[in-house]
Amino acid sequence: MSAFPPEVVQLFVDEAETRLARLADELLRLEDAGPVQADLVDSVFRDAHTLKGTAGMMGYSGFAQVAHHMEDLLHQVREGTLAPGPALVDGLLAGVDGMRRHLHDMVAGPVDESVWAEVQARVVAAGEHAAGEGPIEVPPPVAAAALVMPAAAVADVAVARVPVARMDAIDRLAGEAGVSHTRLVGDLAEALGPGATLPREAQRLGHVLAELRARTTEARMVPVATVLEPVRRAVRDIARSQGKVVRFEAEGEETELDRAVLDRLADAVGHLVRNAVDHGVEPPAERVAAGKSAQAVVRVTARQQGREVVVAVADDGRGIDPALVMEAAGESDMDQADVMERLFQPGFSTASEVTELSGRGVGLDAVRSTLASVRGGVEVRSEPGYGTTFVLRVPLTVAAVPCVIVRCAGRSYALALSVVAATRLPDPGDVALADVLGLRAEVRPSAAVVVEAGGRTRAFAVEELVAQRDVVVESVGALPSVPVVAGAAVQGDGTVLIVLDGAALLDHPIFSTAPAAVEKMEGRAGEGAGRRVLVVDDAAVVREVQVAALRRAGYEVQAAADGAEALAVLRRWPADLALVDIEMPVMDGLALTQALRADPALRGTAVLIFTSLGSEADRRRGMEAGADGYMVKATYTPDALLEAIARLLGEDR
Amino acid sequence: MPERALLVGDVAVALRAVRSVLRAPELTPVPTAPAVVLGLANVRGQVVPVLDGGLLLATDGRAPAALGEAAYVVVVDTAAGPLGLAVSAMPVPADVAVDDPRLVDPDSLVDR
Repeated sequence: MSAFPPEVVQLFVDEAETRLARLADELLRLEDAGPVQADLVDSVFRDAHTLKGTAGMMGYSGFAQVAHHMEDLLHQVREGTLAPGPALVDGLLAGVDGMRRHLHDMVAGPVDESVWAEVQARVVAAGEHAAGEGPIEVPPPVAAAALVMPAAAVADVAVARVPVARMDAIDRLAGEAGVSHTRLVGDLAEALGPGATLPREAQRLGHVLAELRARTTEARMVPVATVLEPVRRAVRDIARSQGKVVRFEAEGEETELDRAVLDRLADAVGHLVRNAVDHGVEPPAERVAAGKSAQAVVRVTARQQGREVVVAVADDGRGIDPALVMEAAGESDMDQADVMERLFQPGFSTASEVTELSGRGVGLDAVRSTLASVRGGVEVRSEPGYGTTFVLRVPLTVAAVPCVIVRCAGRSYALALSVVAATRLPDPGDVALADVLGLRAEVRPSAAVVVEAGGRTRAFAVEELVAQRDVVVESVGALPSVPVVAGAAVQGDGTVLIVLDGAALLDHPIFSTAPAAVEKMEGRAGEGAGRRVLVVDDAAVVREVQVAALRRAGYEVQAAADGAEALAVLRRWPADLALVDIEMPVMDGLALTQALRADPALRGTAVLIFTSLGSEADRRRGMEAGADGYMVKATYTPDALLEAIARLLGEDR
Repeated sequence: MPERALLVGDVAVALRAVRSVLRAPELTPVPTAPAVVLGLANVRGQVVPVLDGGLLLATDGRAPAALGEAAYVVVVDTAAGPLGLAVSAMPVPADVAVDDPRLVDPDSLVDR
């Protein structure tokens, strides 16, 4: 247990996670890099060093010891006395994995010393091995041991298996309930007249529904283990039918992913593993003749790296022969990267005689496009004679944008919730969305969406409000420029949904009679000079990030962890603007905003709400409490934040 | 050295740039887009814009393929992402010279 307050411990955990993720990534690049790159080595070394330092300061000695040994090895790499070969990198990665695996246990309570001793031993052994770096050792002996733990961890939790269709239905209903609530609140507000506060129960229902949506999303997260079972089986079956001896190993099976991503990943991994056994692994006699063990190893490892999950599919088979690839491609001068890239070319995959000989290539274009559909990617590394590793990267969840789905001229269109200020009953003065889109509306409008972008607001009449749900928006790169189209998404039923661009709708010539003022922000660096901003958020990391971004822009900045603390700070340090989170202990952001508005001395403080609560009802509550602006964390970029702040302060002047 | 290509009418696309050929996929029309844009298709989970191949590839004076005639869609890789070309006749593979004037660069089809 640490003597530090939980907030600092959390900050340490968050930081360590980020740093470990980067460290793992850097180590892989270091191994790939060929000639040792000094700046990369420096960066890796610094990360290990900082981890050692902070862990030591916090009193996590086992963790610090592992970091110390890693730092020691990296120092030798930096000095040029040790080469960052596969064995060394494997050992260092084992260290990173061990630190990651036990990070959360460690801050929850003391961890058995033997755990750290084991991790440390792996790192030290790798160093000794690397000192006399021989041939590449493909499967490190720790893989089998590592497999046991996660499997047990998965089994510990009671799991209900739910058919996908049922889960989708729940998801959809939760979304519809949200829309229904939004409409109800609109109707209520209309019935109660201007200035009336909403009944408490209506507000509570909004909270509950937002929570329900968050939980259904969470329920979609599934461990990688669920898709490895059929793969394991396929390995055995193919190996047996071809008289090969193959051991299948899996590591990191407990890593969780959005099911939508995992489904695509499962196809790709299945394909690559079957390929590995089918083409990559040699018959036992050939292996023995090459001085290898008769038993081949195919290994799948999954690990989370920041917002990505990285899955490696590795085998110790014959590897990819660049000469054969070049011959098949009809070229004589290709570097390693070109050769590997060529394997993913659509034309290449059909040349079956090549793939049989080179050990790879069948359907790799399909693997790549499968992953591309969830914004993932794939790379391959191979050592002729020693094996092949495919590294797949997919986002943890598909970057879903909360959208309002409307019906217009018989088709569905999506609008990002971030540009939808409200939905309400149509008004005769509203412009029909169909007119703006150049379509013919055949049904009378039943609703209107109020679109707000770039400081302008317009209402568009639509046939129907269909739903509010998260949409995985893709950009359509090769589409000739069509301003009203922000992107598109493949829906559950396979059809394509177009996502409209709110700002482009407002740019339509229909509105050109009354040009709305668009503010342009310039001179970012000095815009904050002389202005004071108070950052109010209970998450230390969020505070750190915002304080840094605002200071860079020239603002004077202070921070507070909840509403009560913020009030105290503001009384002695009046700020021009408060950047306020909603969900906070002691006094939440809405209460703080109301308190500021009620206080004669502080009434002039501009309030920008910055929250993860993105629904229309949340926004309405924020504005009702007296906020001047509302920004959803999911849409955060430093520029967008600075722009919003500058605009509020500009209007204030 | 000859180049393996797909002949689409009197235009050729290098086979290495062709991702796939689809039969009349379902298209979602794109509002306000120029006439050459027939719609968006779902190709293996990815959204691919489909352009009128007749209109885009035609030499002067040739009538464009009507929307209903878009029996096949040739999906090519461009620097901006995959792009579908709708054509009325089935494309045929052929060997053409690398300097054959009928060969088009897929990137040249993308309007930047």
